[in-house]
Amino acid sequence: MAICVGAPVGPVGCRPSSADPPRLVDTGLAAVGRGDHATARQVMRDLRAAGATDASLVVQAAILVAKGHPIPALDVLSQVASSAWLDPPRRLVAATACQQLGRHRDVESLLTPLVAANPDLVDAHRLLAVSFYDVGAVQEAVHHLRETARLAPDDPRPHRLLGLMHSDYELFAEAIPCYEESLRRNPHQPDREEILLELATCLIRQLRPADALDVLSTAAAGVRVDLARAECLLALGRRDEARRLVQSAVAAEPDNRAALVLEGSILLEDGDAEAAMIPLERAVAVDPHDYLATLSLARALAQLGREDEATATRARADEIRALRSTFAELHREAWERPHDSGVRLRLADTAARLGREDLETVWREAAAAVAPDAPASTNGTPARSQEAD
Amino acid sequence: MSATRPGDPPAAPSAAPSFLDRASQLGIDAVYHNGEEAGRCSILESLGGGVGWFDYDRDGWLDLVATGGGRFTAGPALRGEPTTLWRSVPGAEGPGRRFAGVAGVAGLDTLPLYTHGVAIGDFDNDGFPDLVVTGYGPAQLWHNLGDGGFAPVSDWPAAADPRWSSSAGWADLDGDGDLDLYLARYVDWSFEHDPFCGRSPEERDICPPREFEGLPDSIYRNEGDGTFVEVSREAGLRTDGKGLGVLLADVNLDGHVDIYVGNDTTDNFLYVNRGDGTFTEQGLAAGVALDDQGVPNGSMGIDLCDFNRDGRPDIWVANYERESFALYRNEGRGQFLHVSRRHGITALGGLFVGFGTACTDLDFDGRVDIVVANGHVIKFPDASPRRQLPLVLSFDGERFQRAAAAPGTFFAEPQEGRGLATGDYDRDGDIDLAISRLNEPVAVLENLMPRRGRPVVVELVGTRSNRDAIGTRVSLDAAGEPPLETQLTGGGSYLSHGHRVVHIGLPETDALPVGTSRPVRLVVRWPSGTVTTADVPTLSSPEDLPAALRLVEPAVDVPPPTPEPRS
Repeated sequence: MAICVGAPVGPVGCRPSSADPPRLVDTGLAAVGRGDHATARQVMRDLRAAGATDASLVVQAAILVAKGHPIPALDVLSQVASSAWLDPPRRLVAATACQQLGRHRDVESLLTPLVAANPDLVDAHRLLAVSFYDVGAVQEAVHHLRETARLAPDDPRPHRLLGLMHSDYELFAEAIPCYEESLRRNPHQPDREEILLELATCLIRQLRPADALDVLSTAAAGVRVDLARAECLLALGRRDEARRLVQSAVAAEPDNRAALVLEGSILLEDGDAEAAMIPLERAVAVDPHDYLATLSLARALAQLGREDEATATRARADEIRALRSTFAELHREAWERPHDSGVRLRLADTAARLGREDLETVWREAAAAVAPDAPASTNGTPARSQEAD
Repeated sequence: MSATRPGDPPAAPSAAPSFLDRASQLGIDAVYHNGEEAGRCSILESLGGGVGWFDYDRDGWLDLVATGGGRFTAGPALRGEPTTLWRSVPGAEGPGRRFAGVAGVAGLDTLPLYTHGVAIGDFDNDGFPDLVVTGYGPAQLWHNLGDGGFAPVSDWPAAADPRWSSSAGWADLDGDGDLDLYLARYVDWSFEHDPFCGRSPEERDICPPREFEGLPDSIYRNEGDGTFVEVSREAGLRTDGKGLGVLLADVNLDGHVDIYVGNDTTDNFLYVNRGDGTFTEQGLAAGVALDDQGVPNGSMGIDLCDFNRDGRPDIWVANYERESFALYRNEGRGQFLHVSRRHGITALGGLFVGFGTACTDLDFDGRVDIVVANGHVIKFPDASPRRQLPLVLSFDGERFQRAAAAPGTFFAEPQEGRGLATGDYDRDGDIDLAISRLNEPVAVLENLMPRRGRPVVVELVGTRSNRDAIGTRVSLDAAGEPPLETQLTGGGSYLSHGHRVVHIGLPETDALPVGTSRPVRLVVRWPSGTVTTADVPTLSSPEDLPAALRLVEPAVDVPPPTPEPRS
């Protein structure tokens, strides 16, 4: 789920030129953020030469985190003695390591006091937002995303994540301005195509097909864009154009579930249930957990008078629908109870029954991250025993 | 970006719907009060009121009933505003008509209730239509005494049931020749269960229905002796709906009246009649419970029409914003398909909140038009305004197109519309409307649309069937065209009651040439199973007002009646 995890960034620097440890730490962390590890290592050496060993360890830990070694990073940080000026960067690096380990409670306990003391610490807000989002604590995530957006007015990522979160909860009206703001902030961002598609999808769900079509007109061609465009055209009554797009999508990707369902629904609307059976059966074969495909297949079967098959297929659609409903309800519970690992485990179980292994993994990780047997540290750095998790 | 907003004119207008609000000219001054001035923002305020056209005194002219709603008082408590009854009487000058408020004379203002809807039906088959009024508290049944007065029926089961009711509809559900009642109920709001909703204390708003549990609907079986028995459980009703709209009609054409219920955010129900007044709920199986994405909608107003003239009745549902209004095409075999996208409904956008509605031929071109009264339910909507334009959608044989309203007419102004009822109050042959609005006078809309054909108006009188002939199917066979099927339904629209006559438009191409006798035949299938036919008479001159046919169901072994023009 995390889409905007970023190493903390600071002022842009190159070769360190100051022996002032706080500035050197900033410079070193900024270098890590840019992937310039050589500079960061030089900063480490400069800090050690200046006698700031603890500060050097913080930069070293940041390098380890950036390289995907969070446990050694936490080991390094556990050697750092407490000091007021070094506390913010130490907590940020530790929290980033904990985030990589999926230890949300540690991230929260490390950074919450930090942002209380330094409300403008954008990297802390960003990390908290992602961590809260990853465990389904939406209200908290939204708060920190809004703070991030405020403090980083050119950063398109917070609004994109806000848009995604609202979409996840089918709050499409709320998602739309978030995506629009994200696009406004940096129209050349690498995720632009994805955002355009996400925005168009929200507009379609809001029954604003003409607006969605406008958005898609600036997107690069592709099957997913074509299918979204076809949905718009259907809603606007331009059925022939829509039909052509869907047919070419199915030709390009014969197992594209969305394309198959759309083709089937067009045929059903045209009164050709017999023909609709072909794409709908294929769609259900591709994804037996797809609600709309299954429901549409049941409709086609019923129209063909194949009552027993229709009844069985409808029962399967009902089953999927009930699971989806449970999933949505559990999402709301997770939203309201950010530290409840039980509800997250139930989400994982439900995701598994819906055939969504990807979401199952996400929620199992979220459950572990907020589990009460993974107590948060109180001194600012997770205990060594936790690091071995 | 552009959107089809409820305040915007349509991009591609079709024929202009010209309706003028004549309420004040006619002397009608009925206002529905929802009590919002108390600032409670309760869901109770969102439903609004209904209207009903009926000839309660049988003088041949339509009268109007309108619910008055209510207000909040200290306690807290509710105080009902009186239901008003408007009798059509001769104008002071000339041949015109006006309306006189007669609720007091009729006795309708004697029982206080925070009211919503009306349902009209002649439950004792005496020829004088009786009245049910719904609301927050026991629903009221008013017996029409035939002398201009109504008497409350105090010993019917609903009188002891305080649960909140919304729409209701009459039909003979058990085939015994008298009308039974379906009463929809909404949710379990109360002063004790009145949660806070809204963005902030300063912006308290109406709670959505998901904050509440639904209340079970009821069927009251008419025992034929002036009494009723609640048979909801025996009839097989579900208990998990949040009912707002009710339609009673024979949707599968098996000769028995079925029930369709529009629920707010939960699945709509289709109760298929087993033939004995018990039902099987088939909404999901029939394809009318959900939208085309498999999602339940916030359904309000409902109507029935054969929009594609395939002889099978289709179902029309007005829904909440961000949902398409639903057109369920009857595919036969008891199956329906959501075809809003196929026929241009989704092109309207999703910003309307639709309530009262009717699916009928407003300009007699032989094709269905749909009219919808819209208005938001919450105080601080994000996407669309509280006041919304009412809609007229015209079918061109392929797609429904939104018609542009003539400037200065009712449909050109945003409203907070709720109940809507059809009826030809001025007896000029076309379909006029009444629309209940929140905290504003009821609009009485004269239809001034240019006629593109000739109206055929048929009044049906049951004898072996219920006297109101609810459930009767009428097929108009104009040579060379597919038969046009219509049906006298119970319930329909939202909280409201349209006059129960059959209105069919014969387009110019089909209209009878003056002085000729080209055959246009009506086939009437009465609920009793009797089938009769009648020929539509020719016109003697182009200026002729259409004669309303009054068809009386024959008794057993009596030949079909000759159509007789209504005086």
